[in-house]
Amino acid sequence: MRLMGKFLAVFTLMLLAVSGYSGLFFLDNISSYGQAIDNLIILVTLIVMPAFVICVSLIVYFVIRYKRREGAEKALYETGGHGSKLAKKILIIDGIVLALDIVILFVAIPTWMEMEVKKVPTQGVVDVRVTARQFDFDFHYAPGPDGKWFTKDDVKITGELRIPVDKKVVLHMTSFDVIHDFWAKNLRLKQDIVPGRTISRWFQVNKSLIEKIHGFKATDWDTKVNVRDVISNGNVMTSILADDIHNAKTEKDKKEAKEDLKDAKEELEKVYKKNLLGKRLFEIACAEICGSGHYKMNAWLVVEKQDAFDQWLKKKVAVNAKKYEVVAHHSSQGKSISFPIK
Amino acid sequence: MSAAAHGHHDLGFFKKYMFSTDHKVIGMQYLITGIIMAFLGGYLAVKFRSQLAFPELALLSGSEYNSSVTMHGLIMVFWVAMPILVAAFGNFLIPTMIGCDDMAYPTLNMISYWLFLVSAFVAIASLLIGGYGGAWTLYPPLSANMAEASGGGAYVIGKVPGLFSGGSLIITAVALEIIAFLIGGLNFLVTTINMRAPGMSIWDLPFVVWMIDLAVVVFMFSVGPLVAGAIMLLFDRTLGTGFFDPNRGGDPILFQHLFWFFGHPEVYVVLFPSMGFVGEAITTFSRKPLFGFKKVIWAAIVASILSFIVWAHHQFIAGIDPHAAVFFTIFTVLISVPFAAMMFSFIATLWKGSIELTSAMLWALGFIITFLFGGVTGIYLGTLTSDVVFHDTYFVVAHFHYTFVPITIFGGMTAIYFWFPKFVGKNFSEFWGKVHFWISFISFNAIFLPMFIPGTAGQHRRIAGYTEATFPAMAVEPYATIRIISTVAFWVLFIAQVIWIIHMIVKFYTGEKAVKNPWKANTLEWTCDSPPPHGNFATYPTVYRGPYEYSVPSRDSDYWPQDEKG
Repeated sequence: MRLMGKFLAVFTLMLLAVSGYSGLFFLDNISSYGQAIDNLIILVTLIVMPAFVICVSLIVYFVIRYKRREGAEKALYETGGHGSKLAKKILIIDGIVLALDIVILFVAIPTWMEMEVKKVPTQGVVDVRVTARQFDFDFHYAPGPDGKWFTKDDVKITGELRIPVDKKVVLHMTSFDVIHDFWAKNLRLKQDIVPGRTISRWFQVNKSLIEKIHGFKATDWDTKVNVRDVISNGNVMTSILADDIHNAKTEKDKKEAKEDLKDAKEELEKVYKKNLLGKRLFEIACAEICGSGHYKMNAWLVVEKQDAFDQWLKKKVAVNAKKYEVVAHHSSQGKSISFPIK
Repeated sequence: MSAAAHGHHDLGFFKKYMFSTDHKVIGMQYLITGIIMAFLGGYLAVKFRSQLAFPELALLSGSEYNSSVTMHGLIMVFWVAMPILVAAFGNFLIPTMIGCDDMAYPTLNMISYWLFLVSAFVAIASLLIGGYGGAWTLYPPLSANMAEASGGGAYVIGKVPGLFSGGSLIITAVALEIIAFLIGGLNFLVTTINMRAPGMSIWDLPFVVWMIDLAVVVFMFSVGPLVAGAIMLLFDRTLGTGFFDPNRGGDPILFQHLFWFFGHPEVYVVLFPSMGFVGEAITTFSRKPLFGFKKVIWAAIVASILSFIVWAHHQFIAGIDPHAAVFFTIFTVLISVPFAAMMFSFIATLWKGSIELTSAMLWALGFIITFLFGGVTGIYLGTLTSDVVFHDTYFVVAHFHYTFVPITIFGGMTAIYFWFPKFVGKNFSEFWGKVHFWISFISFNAIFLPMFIPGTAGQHRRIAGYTEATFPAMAVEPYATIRIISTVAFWVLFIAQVIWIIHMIVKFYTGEKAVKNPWKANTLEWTCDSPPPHGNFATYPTVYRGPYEYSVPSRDSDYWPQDEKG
């Protein structure tokens, strides 16, 4: 019984440690199936980490306990062959390993079925076509009166995925050139984008999860989030980083470039704060190496309430109808395609 | 090598050391080439780790960074792990442990090394013209089209980079290297099957010989698709074919299947020899038989078979059929069972032993602990649902290095410290061996353990710098500090290896002559002189028992060499 009590105490401590670990190091989850994934990770941790700790403790204990000493008796002659009691015990432990593996699979596979295998919803969803290219994401909406793709009222926008809350969003992803990857950390959604095929994945951002984010206020829904602001400030900073410091010939130039960088950083921080980074503005990254500019290939996810989203789209349609020539659907065979300018 | 001192006739410098057909000289050539390439790979890591920790210094551009990480990966897998673990120690150990004078085909053995050396030079040539920057997995269409040697390069439909570009050269080098190991591996198998000492059944073979041969079998079965894929990719780059470029009618995912069909078994190709070294060290320094010797070998065989049906766990989110992913995740998670059984056997071998903590034993125990951690973190990645979060993040980097560094460095060092007195013939300093171990063990964990934290948050790989402008969620604390911790720890690890190489070189020249059997081990190589002369044995041994008869109760001595009568 005493052993049992000790075991329970240790297990509780580990549970606390693990939940502390996950709370510290997961980025805030905002998608409807993200919590299931996070829970699975915690479950796996609770299974494998005690196993690891037990094995290492045994090794350390054996090394200390059975260290060779003067005049000590000979080692035990134990081959672990037929009739060995220890071998039978180890067989039971192998069985436990197998059982725990099966537990993990039983928890993991249903979530996978929900996320990936279940047919992608088509009714009452927001469809977005995503085209990845070196080194940007283009997002393409088909709103407007006709609701059809590749007509004049389509909205195409680079580097910004704006979506309504509490509604299923379906991404139809394809690549213009090489393999990219759509990695929205807060959505727990990652998908390679492969040229020559279109892969559809869905997600839904829950309002309740957004409002649970630390420091989020109800009034934050009304703030206008301006991604152009973020991108232009970011571009300034990237150029200072990559070129000026690298190319600076004299120490003075280098010092100036570094000071510029410091200023740009402060400026950017203000912009992020204004744009509610981590509250309604989230980063999207390309997670598959795609060439020399891979290190800066990103996009931004903006979450809006439904009415604000509709208004935004309406405004974009009006602007776009004037500004852009809509390009016919490009086939995967590489016909020419043009993208709207930022 | 002082083989000449005992040789029948003087062969001259070139025949003796350069174009030698003696398996020990060839083993030494493989080992030294591997170590030189390891320092090259390590130097690349110094470069990109420094860039990563201090992006504001702008040490590397985007393409230089890509090229450094790619070449680091390729060099460490193909020109360090493979030659040191499989080729070098396969050459040293197989003939001496089975009690024969040399490999079955000594000339082929020499050709194998020279082909390998050519492949290493081609790889270095690729690095010198800028290398390749599309990750060591060589995924097309990026690899099929990327023109610029630097690994940058925009995608242009139908652009053919040609043979003299970093990418084409490194693919050629990989293909050459594979041919070299096929020749060498064939030799290992033929030698083990045909040239065993009288009385030696397959169950009298030492564990490490079993494991090296099993690695060779896995290698031979898995490598075909990779060679096919590499040649098609080379055609795409040089002749303008379109096997893997959808804009020319190809399929990029096909290459991923060909690559990982080899890529996963490849992990076991390098793992098995390493487990062999560790097994030898643990039984010898615990003075106990290897626990469940036959069962461990059967577990390894089961794991080898399973290793051929798990490859798509690298592609869960690559766009393969999600139903197929379920199949692959089941076998991936199940493969933990045979490996757990093998690890339990190692731990059980320590139980009630008489443990001596020599340098080799420390490295072996370090292997078990670190590799176990690599194994358990693999469960997160093999489980398809959590892999969605971890794929292509630093969690993968950390997990991968918790398997490959134990395999290559911890396993390799176990072997080097264990057999140094035998094959170099000099004693090394246990003090410096232990210093080397502790610095390496601590700094290795300080590099990769913290890396799981940004990995869990989703910090994605192959990024030259997480700036506030592009990835603000990753540019903040604690992630920025963790990157600096890892980098500083890596510098320490690198310096520890410099200390090690100095120690080894000094002892090579000044160390006192080693005795025949310093560890009182049972296997046949310890009955040769140190170092073994040309032809290895003065009289060829006959085998009377298995390799692990330690602490037999009826005997006074706690070991019982395989060739001792009675």
